[in-house]
Amino acid sequence: MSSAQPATIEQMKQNPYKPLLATIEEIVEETWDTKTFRAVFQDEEMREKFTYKPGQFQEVSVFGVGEATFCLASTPTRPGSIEFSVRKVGSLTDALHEMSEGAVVGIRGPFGNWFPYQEWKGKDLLFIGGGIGMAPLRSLLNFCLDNRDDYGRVDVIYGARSSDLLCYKTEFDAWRNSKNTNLFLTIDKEEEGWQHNVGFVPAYLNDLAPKPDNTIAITCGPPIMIKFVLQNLATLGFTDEQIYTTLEMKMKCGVGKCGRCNIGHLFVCVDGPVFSYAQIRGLPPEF
Amino acid sequence: MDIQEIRNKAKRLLESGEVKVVVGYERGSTESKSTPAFIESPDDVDRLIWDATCVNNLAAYAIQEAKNGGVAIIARDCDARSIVMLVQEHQLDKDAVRVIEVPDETQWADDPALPESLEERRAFWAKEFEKCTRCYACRQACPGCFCNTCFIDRIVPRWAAKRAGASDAWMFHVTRAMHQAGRCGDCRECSRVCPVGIPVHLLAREIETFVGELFDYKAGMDMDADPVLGTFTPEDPDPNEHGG
Amino acid sequence: MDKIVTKDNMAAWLRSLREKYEMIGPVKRPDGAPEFRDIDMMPPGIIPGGIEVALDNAAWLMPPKDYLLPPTETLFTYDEKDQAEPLKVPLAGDKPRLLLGLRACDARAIRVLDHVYLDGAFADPYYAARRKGMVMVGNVCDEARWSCFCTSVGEPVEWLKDLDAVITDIGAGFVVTANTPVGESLLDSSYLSDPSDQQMNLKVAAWDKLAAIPKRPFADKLAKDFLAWDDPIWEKYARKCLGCGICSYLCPSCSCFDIQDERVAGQIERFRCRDTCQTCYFTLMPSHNPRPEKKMRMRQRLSHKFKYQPEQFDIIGCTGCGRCVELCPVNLDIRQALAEVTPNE
Repeated sequence: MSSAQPATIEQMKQNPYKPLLATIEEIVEETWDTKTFRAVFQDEEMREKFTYKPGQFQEVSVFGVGEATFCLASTPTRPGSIEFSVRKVGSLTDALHEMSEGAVVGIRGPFGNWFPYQEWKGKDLLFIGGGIGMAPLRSLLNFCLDNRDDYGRVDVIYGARSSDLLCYKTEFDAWRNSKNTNLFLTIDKEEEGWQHNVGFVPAYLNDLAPKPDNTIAITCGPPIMIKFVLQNLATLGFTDEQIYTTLEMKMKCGVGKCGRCNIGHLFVCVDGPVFSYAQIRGLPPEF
Repeated sequence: MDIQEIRNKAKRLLESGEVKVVVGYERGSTESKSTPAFIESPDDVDRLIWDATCVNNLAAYAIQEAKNGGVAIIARDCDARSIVMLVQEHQLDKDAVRVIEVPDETQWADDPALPESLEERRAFWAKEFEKCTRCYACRQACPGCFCNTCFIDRIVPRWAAKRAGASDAWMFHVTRAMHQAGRCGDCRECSRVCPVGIPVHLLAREIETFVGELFDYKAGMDMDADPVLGTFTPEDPDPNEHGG
Repeated sequence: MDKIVTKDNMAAWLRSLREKYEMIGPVKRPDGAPEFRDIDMMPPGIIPGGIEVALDNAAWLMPPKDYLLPPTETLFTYDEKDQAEPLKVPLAGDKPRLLLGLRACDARAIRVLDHVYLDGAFADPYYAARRKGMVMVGNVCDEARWSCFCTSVGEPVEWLKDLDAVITDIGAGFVVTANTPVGESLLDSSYLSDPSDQQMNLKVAAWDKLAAIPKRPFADKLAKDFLAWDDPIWEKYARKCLGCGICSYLCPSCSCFDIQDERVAGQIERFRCRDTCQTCYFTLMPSHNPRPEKKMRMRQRLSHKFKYQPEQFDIIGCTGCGRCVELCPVNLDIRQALAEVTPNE
């Protein structure tokens, strides 16, 4: 794949540890513990030139607190700013959640590989997301919808424990209204006024029974969901090569040096985070 | 002490089912070293050795091994004090642990002389802590360091950065020594394992001296005694009024 | 190119090199153990003769990696009050460094570090700045320590060729062999002269002696895929592991690090510092921990060196220096563990 990211790659190659400064322009409260941040680079040239591919991640700094890894939840087809969704789970994410619009963060990236979307042209796509795991899928989904004619049918199965834990609600209509695109929502337990499916994501997948022919399935969510989604996809006839996911490992440097995200001879930050299930099967079971 | 006596005791404990494992020493990968041995079968007791190379405080394995059933530990006096201390601190079930006592024949290295004045002592420790690699081997080898999460590994709040160099190492070592108050049996494992030769044990020994003077207490002597810092009475002396 | 320097002239020659280079070498500490340190810092007069500078293999030595990867290193500082340029990266010093007293295994370790820090899409600029222009001078070990096993993991005589110059003690003097143009420039000195055939023979004999160090029983297993995932040795050996990081902190090729922020004197500093896969915190995430047990962490460390790095860089990550063997507080000897591994079919 050709490199279409001269400005950032150039800067990151000089010093991948030096963040680019960015200002938080918008904060969306997705759920009680998850916010989506839209950041704009302070450097005007970088604002224009910063580009990335769906599936890649970045390291976000809160200066004085530290850094954490977040996937890019926005799509490069909508340049000018980047977005990442943050669930409150520790000191760094706490600090991010306390930030207001106008605050300064540092951004390093984009790092890692990406979904091989160019190879998927002409194919049907099946997105299966759970909770905050929708973030990397959202990047790819919006990218594909912005290049709608490149892909066939797009089905999105998205679930959460309850309706208030679904992220990106404001985009649901845009997804539904795209050409040849379907959104299937599900929650674990019955709720008053809920008009969509009730049940776990893997079970809903079985009910919908998508056909594997010429289809790529992309899944991301809690490990337990992924485990059963993979099983059910196999039962539905999907091969390991037709299934993609992203792996989560502790990261620090993002560029394959610090050693934390090492699984077998691969580094999730360099060789991932996107893997086909066929690749994952070849890795030591340590993620 | 005759090694056969140790082996016989180990054998009896294993044969009777009183313990599942005996933690002792066996020959290491070179003549000058011993290595911890986990003997689970009476047939294996002949692997056990007892000589000048047997220096580890095996009480460091007490909690780990007691989880799988009864454990007997070969222990010198100072090591046995660690085991007693762990029982006092409710880290070990009294009934789950046996001690096979061995005499303390350790050739202890001479302690470095600490300077008299406070300023010189401060300079002495600053120089020592400068060498610290923050490998935490002192903590890992210490039976008294049984916290699930050490304060130094906590991220919220973070007590000290994980940088090499004196100031953060100071925070680590001094706080660790304070936490050893009433727990240190002076086995000197912390100094023995230190790869850069910091006489870490002198810190805890100082604290123990202090505890002894204030509370007339010696760590790990009585399984039924309450840990000195786990109790409070209005009559407790005020450390601030003490000469320290 | 080979030259000879007498034992009397050795000190003068090394001193002359200090004019051009910041010299780092194994200097004997007061307690007799050598450590790599800045020779310039030593009082004048204490320097060499091959005596105070320890060019023998008599004692274990802290690895030289401190000089490529300092235990703690500032990546940048961030000053909230500086509106124009809040973020500043420290600059490396400009006087080139000469590392003296490297053993074959140390040279090999630097090759491993080079792969980790310079290969791939992103080179590490801090490492690269130190590595660039660094001159490496080593010496040939006269004998193996009880803990060493370099010949079991490779060919130390070949590793010596990564050095700019190699010093061989032949008794009456030192033969100095230049492997690179920089090495040759070091030899361009009036303190050195051309060696005789007999002296050269002694040098070759010393190199042959190094190559002839007997291999360990596990050496013939070092095919790429010899560490089995479920081998019982992981459990067996991890049982006595205390979980300290000595093996990796003092390993010349272990190079994993942590990155942290700290406020120092009104400024924010982001620094990196050594870290080790031997603690549970290394991989701990809010959601889960992929390596919660000691046996998994021990398997990771050995697999990384003997399986993953060979796959990644075509190089065994272990150099056989023996520091982890010698310094492990419980004598967990990886050579025994490796000898007990049942290789995959």
